[in-house]
Amino acid sequence: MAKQRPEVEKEEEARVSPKGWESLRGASLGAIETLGLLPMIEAVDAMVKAANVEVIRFQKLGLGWTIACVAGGVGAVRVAMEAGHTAADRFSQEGVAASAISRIIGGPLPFPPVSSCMLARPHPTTWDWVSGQTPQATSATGTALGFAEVLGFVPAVLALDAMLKGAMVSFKGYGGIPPRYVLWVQGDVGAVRQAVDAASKVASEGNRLVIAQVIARPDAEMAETIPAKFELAAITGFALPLPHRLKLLAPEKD
Amino acid sequence: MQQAIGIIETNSWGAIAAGLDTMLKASNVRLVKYDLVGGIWISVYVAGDINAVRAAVESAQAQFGSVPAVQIKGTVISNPSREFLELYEL
Repeated sequence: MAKQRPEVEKEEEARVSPKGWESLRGASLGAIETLGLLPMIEAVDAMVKAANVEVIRFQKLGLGWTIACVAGGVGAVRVAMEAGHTAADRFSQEGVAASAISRIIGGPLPFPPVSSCMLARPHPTTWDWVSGQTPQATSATGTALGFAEVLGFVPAVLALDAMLKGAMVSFKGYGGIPPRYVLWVQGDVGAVRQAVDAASKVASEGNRLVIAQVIARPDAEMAETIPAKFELAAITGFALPLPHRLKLLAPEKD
Repeated sequence: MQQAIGIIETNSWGAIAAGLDTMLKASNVRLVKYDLVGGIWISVYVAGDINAVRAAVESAQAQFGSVPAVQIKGTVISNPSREFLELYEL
């Protein structure tokens, strides 16, 4: 008897602004994450009206979470993020989104339903990841692995940036079901430890850290099969082909 | 050879990989497969000798027992029946 895997609806792909925003590559970044689409609509409207910023990504992550990312000059992004956060926060004060979602997660939210951040000079890999592109694989020396698991897209962006700037490590991939993100880095043991420490420090603010760990000498089979890949779109968990390594069931004898 | 199966299940995708690493290092077990449980839950199956599997599952559970945000469950099935293997696509 074959077990049927439950059908999970495919998450829609990230909607990326059609305009040539690649010229913005390396500019300042702002990211906002809200619970519910309505606060996000308000926020995006407020952001693009407040300052000269370009929306480079908008996506529904699933479970009610939506994200939007903007890019532009430092001052413009700062003004836009303040405007966007204020606009979206109006709803959380009214309690619309928070009450809607507490039915799904079965309790009160552990953190506020609106969060935003800005990076004045994002690391190139962070930029690629945030804008929804496949990050260029950087040449890593060392085989130690480390990960930081955080709650929310915004803390994930901050943690990734802290990891990449804090030590000489390369981004190996990410996994998890949003709003939980597991960010994997690879490098020398010391560098990975430094990076993971930096990430857990950033994510601990606001209690967004689930767990962060360094694996100094990863088992080869584990390293090969960790559920994290670049090519997965942000909700990814479901589309992930999880490896089946060993067949235990012997074929039936005739 | 008597085969046993060890399963750990957690709500953290990081902990599942780190737990698998611990299991593979702790004793002579082999990775069978990962399984998506649903939501944020994920599980991993290992196989081997009954004592090896038991030691592996215990060490993985002990590793994350003190982390409040991570819930981890583990079980050992010794001598699984054919129906069991078919049911869980092992």
